[in-house]
Amino acid sequence: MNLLKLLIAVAVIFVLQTMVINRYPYFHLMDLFLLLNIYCALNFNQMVCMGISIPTGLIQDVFSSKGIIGINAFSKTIIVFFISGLSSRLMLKHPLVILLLIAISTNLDYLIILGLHKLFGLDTFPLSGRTLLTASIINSVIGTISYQMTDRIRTKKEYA
Amino acid sequence: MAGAGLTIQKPITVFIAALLTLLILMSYQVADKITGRTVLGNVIFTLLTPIQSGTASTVNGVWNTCVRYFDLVNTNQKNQQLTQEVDELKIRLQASMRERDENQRLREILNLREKLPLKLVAGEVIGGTAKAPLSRIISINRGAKDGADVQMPVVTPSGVVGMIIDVSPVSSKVQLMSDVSSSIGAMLSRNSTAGILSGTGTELCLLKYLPLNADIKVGDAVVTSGQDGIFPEGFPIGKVTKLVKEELYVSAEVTPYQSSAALKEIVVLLQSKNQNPGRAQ
Repeated sequence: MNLLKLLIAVAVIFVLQTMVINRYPYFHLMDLFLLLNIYCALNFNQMVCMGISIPTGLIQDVFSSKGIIGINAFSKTIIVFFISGLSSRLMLKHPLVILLLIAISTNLDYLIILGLHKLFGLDTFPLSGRTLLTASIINSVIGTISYQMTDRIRTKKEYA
Repeated sequence: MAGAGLTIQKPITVFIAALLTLLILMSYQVADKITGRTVLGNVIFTLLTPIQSGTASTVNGVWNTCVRYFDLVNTNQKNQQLTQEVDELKIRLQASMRERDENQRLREILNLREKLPLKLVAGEVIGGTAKAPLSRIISINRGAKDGADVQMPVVTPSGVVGMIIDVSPVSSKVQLMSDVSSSIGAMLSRNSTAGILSGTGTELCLLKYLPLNADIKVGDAVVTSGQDGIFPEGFPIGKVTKLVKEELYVSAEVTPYQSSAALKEIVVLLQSKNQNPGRAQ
């Protein structure tokens, strides 16, 4: 059942990411796959998170890069591994902490991807501070709100 | 105690193994740089594009219904169809005009009468890039079954869109000319000064390697030069909006006529490698 929910979530995110948010300026910088992975990292253990980050990262790679598959899977796996590890030891579910966590993750995601591009000698996108800041703000705000809403629905269902 | 140690170490082992596997996977793909195509990418792309195509149809259906409802007019569908037909006709007209001009030139100079016509196939955009702004790639609903192949140009009546980089039976992946790894042979329409048009990852492109003494002005129209062997000569690209003087050459910032955000219907120029007159083999 959980797997089915997850598959539905991935499908919805895939549709939103590739067909809907691209229509709007600024919102195209949103990384819904990253937000899904962070949500999972805050709620599930590291093994489950890696099981989610790798396929979702690969899907994102197939529909975003020209030739190289695995870059997004690599960066997402690193991010979720550390967030999931931290969340099992620390309380990270405060909205401000989540906001900060998503902002850091967004930057880290870009930096890992750019690092891999440089490592493999691929064309790199001249990433500006403005783009990073915009992506961080949009991801953080939308991600935190979505997290709170989803978590509230989940908690209500558990208590019902 | 041993059990606790095992549970802590297990995720780390899997984590390292996963990263190593992904690194090996990426290295393998980088090594295959000659063709620019990857087996894994093609397989996953082929498997997922029918799903994407199906969901795109559903999403577009819902979207169109909403648009029609709010417009309170039932002519949206008809309008779309007519727009597509007009677009196709414009492209055909453009192609035939170029063909006629070229025929005339050839007749005058070489007394040749024949030229192979361009075959076209119209299609729709079914998905955008999944990682903006690092890449600018779209998916279209035309694939190998429709005659599409890699390195085929994709255009609209407004101008050049990009070229196909991956093909599955029913869909294709198109690299937009604004993608950072895209390069197109381009020239100024006014005086045929040629350069290389590179993507910047944004909506703008950069026309590089123009001579320092080149006669170039803001507002000049930029068209394809045909020197890349992919795009036929004379297709509109955009106009110069800014000049950047480098040490050895001049670069021009080019704003494309066709905005990638407004892309919906596209046309693939079906031409084999042998048919393309400008192809540099």
